[in-house]
Amino acid sequence: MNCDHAFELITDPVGSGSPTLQRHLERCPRCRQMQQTLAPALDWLMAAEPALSPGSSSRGEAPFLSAQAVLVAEQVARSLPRRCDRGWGESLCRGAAIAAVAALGVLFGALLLEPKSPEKPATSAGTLTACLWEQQQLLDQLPDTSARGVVVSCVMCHVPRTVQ
Amino acid sequence: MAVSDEELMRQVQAGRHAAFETLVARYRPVLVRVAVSKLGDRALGEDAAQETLLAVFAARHTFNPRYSFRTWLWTILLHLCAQQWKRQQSSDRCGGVIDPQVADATANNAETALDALLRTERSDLLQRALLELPEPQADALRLRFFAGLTFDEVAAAMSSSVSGAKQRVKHGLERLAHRLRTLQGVEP
Repeated sequence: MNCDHAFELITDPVGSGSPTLQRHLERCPRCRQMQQTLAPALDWLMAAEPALSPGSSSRGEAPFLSAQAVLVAEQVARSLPRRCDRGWGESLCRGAAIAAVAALGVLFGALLLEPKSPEKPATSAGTLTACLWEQQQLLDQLPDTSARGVVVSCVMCHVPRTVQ
Repeated sequence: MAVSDEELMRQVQAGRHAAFETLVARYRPVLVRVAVSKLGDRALGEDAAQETLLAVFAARHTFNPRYSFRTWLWTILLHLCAQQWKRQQSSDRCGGVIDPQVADATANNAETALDALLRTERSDLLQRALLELPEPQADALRLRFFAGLTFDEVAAAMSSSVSGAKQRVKHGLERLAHRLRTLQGVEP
C-alpha cells in the first residue's frame, strides 16, 4: 500500500478500520501525522447523521420540475466522461500510438547517428515514397540501400499516417 | 446481487418505469443529505434532490448507459444546487444552519433529550464549518462523506482530475479540522 491508497482508505468510512491501513500507518509517520491532523474532521463527517430517513418528505407539495433542470440533465448527459473500464479498442489505439512514437524516435536516432557516405547518391523523394515493407522487390531499385536509406523510406511513408 | 444503476436506466428507457423507483429509493436519501448540507435548508435541499430525480427521469433518453449514472446524477444535483444557491443569495434567504426539523427527526429515536440536543449541536457546528469552506472543498467533502462517492466519481461529478479531487478533500479536511477545533474551543 502506498500513501495515496492510504489516504483513500483514511477518508473511506468503511475502509478506515482496515488492517492493511493500520499496518501502513504503523510504518509511515507522514500518513500517521496526517490522520491525526484530520481526525476531528474525519470523526465528525463520518459520524454525521443522515438528514432524513429514506422516502420521508416533510413538504407534501407537488413535485416541481423546471425546464432549466431538464436542460441541465441533458447537457450533463452529453458531456459525461466515459467510465473507467477502458475497452480493448481504446487500449490498442493508445498502445499503437505509443509504439509509433517510440519507433519514430528510434528511426530518427538512427538517422542522426548514421555516418554520411559521399560515394552513395542522395535519395530522391520519388523513390522514397514506396513502402519497402509492402513492396520488398523495390529494395533492389532503391538508390540508397544502406540502413539510412531504408529508414528514410519508412519515415517518408509512415510519418504522414502517424501525424494524421 | 443488486442490479446496476445503468441497467436500471436501460429498463427505464425501455418503458419499465418501475425501475426508476429503485433508483429513487437508492439515491434520494443521499441526494437530500448532500443538498441540505450544501444549501443549509432542509426544504430547499429536498426540493433540489426532488428536482434532480425528476430531471433525470425527464431526460432519461439522453443518458447513455455506457457512462456512469452516478456521475450524471451528482453532476445534475451540484448544478441545481448552485442555481438554487444563486437564487437564495439574490433573495437573501441564506440560512446557514440546519432546519430545526432535523432535530425533531433525530429526537424521534430512542435516545435521551440530551443526546438529541448534543447531536443536533454537533450537526449544526459541522454544517456551519462546511459552509465556511471554499465551495469546491465543501462539495468534495459532501460527495465523499455524505454521498459515499469514490475519488474517481467525485472528480467526474466536479469536472476535475482525480488528484485534484483528492487535494480538495485533503485541504477541506485540514481546514475543517482546524475550524472544528476552534469552534469547540480547543484552539484559539
